[in-house]
Amino acid sequence: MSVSTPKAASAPAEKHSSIRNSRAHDLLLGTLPLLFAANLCLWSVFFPEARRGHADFRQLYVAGYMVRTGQSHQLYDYGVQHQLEDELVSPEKLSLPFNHLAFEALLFVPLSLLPYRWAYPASILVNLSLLLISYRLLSPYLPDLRQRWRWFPLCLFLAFLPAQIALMQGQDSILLLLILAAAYALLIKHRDLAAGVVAGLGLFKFQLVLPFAAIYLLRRRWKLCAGFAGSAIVTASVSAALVGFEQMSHYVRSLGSMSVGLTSSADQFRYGIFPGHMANVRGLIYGLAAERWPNTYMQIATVTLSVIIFGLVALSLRKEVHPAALALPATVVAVLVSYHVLTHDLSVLLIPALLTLESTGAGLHARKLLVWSAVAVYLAPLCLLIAPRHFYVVALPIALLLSALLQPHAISRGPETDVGLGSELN
Amino acid sequence: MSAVAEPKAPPAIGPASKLVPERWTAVLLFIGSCLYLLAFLNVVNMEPDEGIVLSGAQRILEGQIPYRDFFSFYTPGSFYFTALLFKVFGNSIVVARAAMVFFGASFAALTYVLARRTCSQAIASLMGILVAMTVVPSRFLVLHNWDSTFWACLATYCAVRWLESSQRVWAFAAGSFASLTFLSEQSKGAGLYLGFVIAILAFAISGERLPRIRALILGALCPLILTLTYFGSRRAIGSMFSACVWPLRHYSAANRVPFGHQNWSDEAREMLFHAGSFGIRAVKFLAVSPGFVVPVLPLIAAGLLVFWTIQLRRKQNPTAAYRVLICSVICGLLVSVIVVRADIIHFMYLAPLFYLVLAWILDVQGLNRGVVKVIRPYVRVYVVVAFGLMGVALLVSALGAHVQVETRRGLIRSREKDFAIVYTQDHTMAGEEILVYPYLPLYYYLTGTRSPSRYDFFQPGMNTSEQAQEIIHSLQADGVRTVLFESAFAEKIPISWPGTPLSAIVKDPVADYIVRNFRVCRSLRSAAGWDFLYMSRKDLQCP
Repeated sequence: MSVSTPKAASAPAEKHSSIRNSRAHDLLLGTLPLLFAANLCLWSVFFPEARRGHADFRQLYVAGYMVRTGQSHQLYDYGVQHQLEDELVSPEKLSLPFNHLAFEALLFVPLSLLPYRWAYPASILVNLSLLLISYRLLSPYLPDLRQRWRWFPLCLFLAFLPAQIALMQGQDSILLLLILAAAYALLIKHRDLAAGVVAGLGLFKFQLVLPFAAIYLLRRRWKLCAGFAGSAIVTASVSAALVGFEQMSHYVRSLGSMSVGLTSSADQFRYGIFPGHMANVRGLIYGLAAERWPNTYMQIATVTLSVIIFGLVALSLRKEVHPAALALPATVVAVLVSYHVLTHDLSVLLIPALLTLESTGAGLHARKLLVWSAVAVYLAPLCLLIAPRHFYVVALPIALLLSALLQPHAISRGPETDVGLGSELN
Repeated sequence: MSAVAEPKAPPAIGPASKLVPERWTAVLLFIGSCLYLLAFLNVVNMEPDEGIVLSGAQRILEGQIPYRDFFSFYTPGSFYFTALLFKVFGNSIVVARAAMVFFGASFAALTYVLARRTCSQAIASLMGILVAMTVVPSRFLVLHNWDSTFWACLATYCAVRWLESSQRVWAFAAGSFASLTFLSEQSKGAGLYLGFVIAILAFAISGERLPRIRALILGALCPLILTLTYFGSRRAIGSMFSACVWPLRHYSAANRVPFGHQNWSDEAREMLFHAGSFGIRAVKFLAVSPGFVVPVLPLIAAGLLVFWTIQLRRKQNPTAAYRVLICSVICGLLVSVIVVRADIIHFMYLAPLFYLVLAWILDVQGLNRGVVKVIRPYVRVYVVVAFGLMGVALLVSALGAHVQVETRRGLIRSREKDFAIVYTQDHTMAGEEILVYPYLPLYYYLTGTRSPSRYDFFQPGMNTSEQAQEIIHSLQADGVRTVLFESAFAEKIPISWPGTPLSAIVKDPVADYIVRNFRVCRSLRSAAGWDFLYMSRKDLQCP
């Protein structure tokens, strides 16, 4: 796919840029053994602990259990959740609260039928299947990578550190990856309404999906927005029906205390949320200014900078950009400006990173920046192994990829230019 | 996909052993290294770690089974290997130390033959000499770490031969030696397995194929199955499993150190960097600087793995396959160091393989221009001078050990007289149960005494409170008369185990029990300068 301009580039330039792509691809190919080794090590250390209950999956498992046993009206009650996690999973001093929209808990009802020790490996299998389906959805648009080596795109999917962390934690980020990949595939086929409906199903991570949809709203892609709104109404209704309006308002309040109210280290420890470990604008500001600025300043700076970045992106994208190509900057900016992004949430970056690696159309300079920024985004999460406390710096390559995508001619105008859509469109 | 070494294709790099002069160079290196290392043979500095394997081997000779009869979180290989040496050559520290001489000389020869595959004879020989001078002498102790490095080097050598010849026997041998590594030190063995997995992946990504992988796996399984069968027949398999995974939950907390941690005390740092004239300090810095270089070498190998995987894929360099294999092994071993304890000591244990990267740097080919051409002579001079100085410093230190001490396990030499050994031997009987607390199992071995409990040492912050209670119980039950107590042990903790929780230092139930129930008879200085209290039970007279 090309995220960029027409195939009109001259032959020598094509050859030259192909070499550049080839270098970037070679670097990733050469790094793959190390990435797999790093993942293997992480798994060997993490899996036994996670099976004993030290994984994010414990909150999702208990949420599913609460819905199944008719306790959904207490879904956001920290005390009840803590007690059930202690009983069903393992006793811990602190609880990981369920902080997603309630409809998501329905997905974990089947897994809650199993004891936790077996539900956790089952969740890994389910997530692995979702990851492979995501790969299948995007695979037709990665011909260049496949041409380099048959298994290259699949290996890139499997070796991406955030995706592996999501698998280890039993997190729902891979489900979101699947949803956005499906939306992308539908957008390529001009099924904007269906794409909107699918994207709306990702509202359990609303902090990522709302900015994504907002880009389309500002670009006046009404069909997609209508589909998204329809999904939003359904998911909100189902959630409200599950937990009741009292719990919904309690949920909104608890979100406040977990986000803007997260003022001290004790609060961060209580909820297991550390802004400095986030690869977004908020993380970057916390990482750089946590010791110097009061919390209020950092909140203001985060919101201001996020709004500025979002506004710049919205203004930079031209009207004629193809809706599928629009998904790439929309996903990247969603990660960057979302208020809450943990390592596993970066799994969705597989979509823009891999599709950008396929880039063949843009001008030489633009393409070079695109491809290498995609490589940087792909490799940057390794920071978790080298300097986990400074994970916020991963926001920088993400911002670089965003700026590369916003270059003139970096993103295609329409299907006639092939722009990432390749043979599927023809 | 194509096999790396097609039988009909000429080998990219000739096996060194086919060339007679090369073989003689390796033999000469081995003999020369043996002679050099004899200077260290019976120099004993009373390091806490030395004695764990010796005491374990002694217990095995007495009919005990590891894990069932005594506690250890090491895999059993080194205990049985050392017990076998004692059985064949006699139960003496010199026998165990002679094995160190053999290992050290083997490292020099193996590094030479591995380096020689891509480097000039001069550089490969230099690496062999530097390995002999700096690696084993840096910690000339009877430790499972050296056994495991020996097996790891053999596994790597066999893997290279497997790559060159595609023969099943080399693949089988590589797998077997990897498992022997695991059976001597589980983390290093796991790192080596990981290294082979990385190599297989890198070859697959490069469109190449490592043949006879089944032989490699079969070779790896054989020693493991034999070991499991043996321990199963001794009803110790359950305890072996729990003991071997014990470090995963207990070792890391107290042993977490920064990458490349140097283990220097404040006095050592002061002596190295602040004492003497500028010239003297510069020389001292030069002599210790390899300690900063060695931890960087495996990181360079990780970068080179990416580079050589690309080269292998492009089929542009005939040595790429060999380098990918070596880099993969080094990366796997690097992970094992990081997971366990990333201090300079653990890097030095693996230096025979890490020095290959140094050899490549000194002998980089195809880059004989520009900055590389200008700086290469300086890098070579630095390596020779710095690593040479380090070796000389270690040798001078060993030669300075003039004081002879006759122990129940042979004659040893040290810089200072060890009053604790002399006094303990004079006032205990061979085979008597005494408690050496907390951490110097070498005293049990050298004085011919034994621990009353299943534990030969106790490390605060790593060993558990249940294990402390077991030691107390053994003191009560067995009527132990004598305790050799190092009361200032806590002073060592910030230097060697900075990650130790403060609570583990403050709460020491065994020390409390000793103080309540034993009286101080004598304060005795060890050869390393640490004071031990010779204590007798309060209801008995001091000797």
